[in-house]
Amino acid sequence: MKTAPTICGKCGAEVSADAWQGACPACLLQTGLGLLTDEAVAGGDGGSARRDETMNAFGERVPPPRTPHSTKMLGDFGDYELYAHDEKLATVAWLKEPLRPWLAKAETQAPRKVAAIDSIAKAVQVNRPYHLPVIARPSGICTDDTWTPTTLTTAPVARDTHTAVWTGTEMIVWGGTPGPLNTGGRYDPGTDSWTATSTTNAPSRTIAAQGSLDRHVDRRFVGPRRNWAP
Amino acid sequence: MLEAQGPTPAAQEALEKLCRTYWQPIYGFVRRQGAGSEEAKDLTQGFFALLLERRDLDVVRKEKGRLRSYLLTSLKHFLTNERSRAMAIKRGEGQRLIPMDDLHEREAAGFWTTDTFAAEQIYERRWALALLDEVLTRLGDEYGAAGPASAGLFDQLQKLLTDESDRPSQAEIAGELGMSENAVKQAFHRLRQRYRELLRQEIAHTVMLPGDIENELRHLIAVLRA
Repeated sequence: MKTAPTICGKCGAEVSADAWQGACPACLLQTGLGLLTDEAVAGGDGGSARRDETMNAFGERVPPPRTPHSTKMLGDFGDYELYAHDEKLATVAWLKEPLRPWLAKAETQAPRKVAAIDSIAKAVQVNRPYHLPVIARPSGICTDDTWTPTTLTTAPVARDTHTAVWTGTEMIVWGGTPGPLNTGGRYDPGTDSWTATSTTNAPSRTIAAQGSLDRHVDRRFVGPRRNWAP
Repeated sequence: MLEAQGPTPAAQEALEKLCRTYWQPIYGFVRRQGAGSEEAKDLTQGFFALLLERRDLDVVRKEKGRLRSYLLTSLKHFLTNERSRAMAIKRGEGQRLIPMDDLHEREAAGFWTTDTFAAEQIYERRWALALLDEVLTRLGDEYGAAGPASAGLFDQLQKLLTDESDRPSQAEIAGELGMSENAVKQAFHRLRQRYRELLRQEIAHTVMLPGDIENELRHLIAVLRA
């Protein structure tokens, strides 16, 4: 008596009763499909594995990179590069660098860049080039995963849609509504104190200003990117 | 398939191996065409006898075709040509060029008579099953040759190849075999790698161009899921 075929719960294919170990043959072939490519079997070697294949992040065999003549670099965007292969397939290669070498390089480059910025600032007669404090671990004043109310003495006026950035030693709150506002405050958790930011040469009033710390130049930007510092 | 061409003993052996592997789709197609068990056996044997005699796989090479398609076309011509058919039966009678392993069991189980698919679908589905049988048998033999522990490992790990929901997890297999989960993970990775290599090798025997391997795989998957 023939055993009735079953239906694969994964792909819906009919699984013949005499299929290998009762496994879905379509799924087995799908597993085999894997990363086969023309390149992986080029040369008519009967399908034997090529020695120059490489492994991807999942430990699977992938074809070697295309030869340069078939690859066109579309652009170098710093952290990644964009290539087109034979004008059909585009890939993005993320140039991820291990943390330690990157950190060592960043630490040696940062002073030079800051010095360059200082010289530029002098050239354009900016009064006070701002040196971002070295980002360090909290000095034991914070306990992980706990909240403590900040002081309200000299705190900025209540607001929303403001920008807040953490410099490593201070939190700077700036802009927002109602207003819009061009005022803000620097909060130092070490002393639990607020210091109002200067409004001299401050940008025009802004809602939801973009705040960031530029890691490359160690320079703090709050508001439009210009030579202004709180 | 290049190996299976030409008059050399090696080519003859390669061709015979292909025939031994892929007799089931041929037999299934013939049965679906209405032939009885004995007649189908004779026709299958006769068809392969003719194929081995003519060694005309060069046609496939010239047309850059696939063995699967070529054999089906040849089989249709073979079956519709009464003269050839008569000759084939004559040739096939008494000859057992192709050992039709398991035929009796499968015959008794009714695999050839109760399929609801059309003859060509049966042919292609059986082709896929024969391909997988060949590959997985070879893979199992390789593990078996390494010893009973390795054979036991294969028995468990091959269940993971389909990634179906009812399959045991790697943790369960690790527990059953007394291995760490990481060791099972690595062992499965190696098994899957080898499975892919063998599958690619086997398909390479049936297509002319290496670039057709992936297309052939996709075609068979589509056939099985139709």
